[in-house]
Amino acid sequence: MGLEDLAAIIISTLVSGSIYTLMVVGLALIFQTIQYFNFAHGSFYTFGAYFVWYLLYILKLDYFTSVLILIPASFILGFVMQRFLIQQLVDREASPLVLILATFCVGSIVESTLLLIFGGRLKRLPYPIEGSIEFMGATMSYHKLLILIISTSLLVFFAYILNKTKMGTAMRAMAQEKEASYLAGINVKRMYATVVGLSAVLAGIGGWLFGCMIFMTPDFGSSTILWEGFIVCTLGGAKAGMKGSIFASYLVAFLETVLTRFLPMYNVPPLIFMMVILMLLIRPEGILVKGGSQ
Amino acid sequence: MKFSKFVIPFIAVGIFLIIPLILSSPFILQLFVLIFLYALVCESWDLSMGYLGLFNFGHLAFLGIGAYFSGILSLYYGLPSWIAIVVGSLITFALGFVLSLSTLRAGEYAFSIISFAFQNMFLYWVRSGGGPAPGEWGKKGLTLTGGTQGLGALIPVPSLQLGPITISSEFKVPAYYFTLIILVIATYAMYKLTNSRFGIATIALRDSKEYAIALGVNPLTYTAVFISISTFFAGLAGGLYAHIMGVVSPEIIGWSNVIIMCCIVEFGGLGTLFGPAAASFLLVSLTQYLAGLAAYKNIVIALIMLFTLLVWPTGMAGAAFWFKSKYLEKIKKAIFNWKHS
Repeated sequence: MGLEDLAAIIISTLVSGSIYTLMVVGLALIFQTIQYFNFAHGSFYTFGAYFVWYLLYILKLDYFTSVLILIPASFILGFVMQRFLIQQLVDREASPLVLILATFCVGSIVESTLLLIFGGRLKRLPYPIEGSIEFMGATMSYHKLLILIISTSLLVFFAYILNKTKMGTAMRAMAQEKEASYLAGINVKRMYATVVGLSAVLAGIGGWLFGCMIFMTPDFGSSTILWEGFIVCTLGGAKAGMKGSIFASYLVAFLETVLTRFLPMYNVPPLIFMMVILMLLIRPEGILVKGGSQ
Repeated sequence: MKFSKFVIPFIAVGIFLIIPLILSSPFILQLFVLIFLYALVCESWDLSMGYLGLFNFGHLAFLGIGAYFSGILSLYYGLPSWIAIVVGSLITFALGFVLSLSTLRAGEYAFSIISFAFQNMFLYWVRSGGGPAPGEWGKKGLTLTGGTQGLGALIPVPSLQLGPITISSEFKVPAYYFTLIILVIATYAMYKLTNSRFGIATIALRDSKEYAIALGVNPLTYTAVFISISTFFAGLAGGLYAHIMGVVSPEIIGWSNVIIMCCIVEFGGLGTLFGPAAASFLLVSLTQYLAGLAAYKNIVIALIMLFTLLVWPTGMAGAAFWFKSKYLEKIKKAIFNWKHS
């Protein structure tokens, strides 16, 4: 194993870790505030990629404008889903599993609609920037560099919103104590919808970045990326917060990269899922959370 | 009084017994075989989802385990089909028992996640092929689970032999009656289980856990037994599916099928047994009708599920009970008015 292999592993870990982070931070935020696992997140991913494709090739807009339009579009998708659908169930105090089933249905509807509109043929987004650089003997395209930059800056921006603005304080308050935040005058319903909208924006941008690297089908979001998000969420733990989710994302990305190097490709996902099951049995609260189980 | 409770099921079974005499279209009979198997799976899922209140996300993985293990045992190891089905069901029984033990350690919510991860693990393992097949089958390039093509795609899984009768998808009428009989026996067993002292204790555990524990219901025993029985019936349905259809493809445990089955259980009504059985007639027919239009099928199923969750959470069984209570009230009122007129 030479230096090139090491560099390739590092690059791959960083890139896929950043892509997972974009998804997982949104998922973890929803999990903490509204307490459900959003299965529609994979379809938000797909929506982002196909929306950019539509703007680029059908409406012939330029790249920068398309991505700018993507941000409000995916925000509206998440906002509407939470405000007009899931909120009805939350008001009725339905169990988290009912919420999960409802998001599952939303994801299925979004994906099937995309399939009806765009068809099942493989599509590919163009790179925003062409070209590549050498890094310790391994090549790294500018697109991968762009993924690192965009995901890092988005996370910094997200952390800023959560920690420094009034809206972020309200979100953290809701995650800690729902009733008290009602009393403090927070519009909890609108804030829930904003949380889902923001996480949908992260997912949409992640989908666009990921869609440039692979051939897209209408189910690429929920067939690959959503499971990774699920794994990372479980490993990071429900109460781990942003730090835990980010750490777990890079950990899972590293494990996958290393395992894929040494094992047949098909054997890696069962191993990772096995790890998740063992993790849930041995340490259900996650890697970074201190304290007893439950 | 005792008889009146069984009138509707008796009439239903009677109708199903004479259906092959009237309709001899192979497509219809094949559809009915599929409906009976799916009804068995959905009823067994209802045992854990409705009666126990535990959401076993990986229930279809047990259908897959039953199908694949009994198929592999009889195809590659030459076991007689019915022994392979029994062995496959017992394997799912044991695995369900092991899975249910995890509720002790991790709690109910984590149980759903564990079963979900288990489903994914099994699905990926099936798709990967699971290594070469044993003996000379492997030398011909066959894999253990057949990969994405499915088990039995090249050489079909042996059909079920009961004495002189062959039960497979080529001989529709025996397959129809055999699955019907199995469904009726299994439904009766599940009905007896849920109405026994054991089942009532389990329902108490679902409705008020602390109170039930205080009354001496051991949560671990009841959870473990209920889940392993429910997975046993799923495995039985899987084994029958493998030997009757001859082919098991990974799609039967894929996510679109999970959502269809879940929709059947929810739409039929949780915790009623007969609700999911009735709903499987409607929805399996619907999905088979829309089989060529996968996107529309998914949208329709998802909309039905959302409708059930948002507007009518008790499902079809709830609607039936509502209708019955309304009807009974009217009769009572009429008698009351007649007496006092």
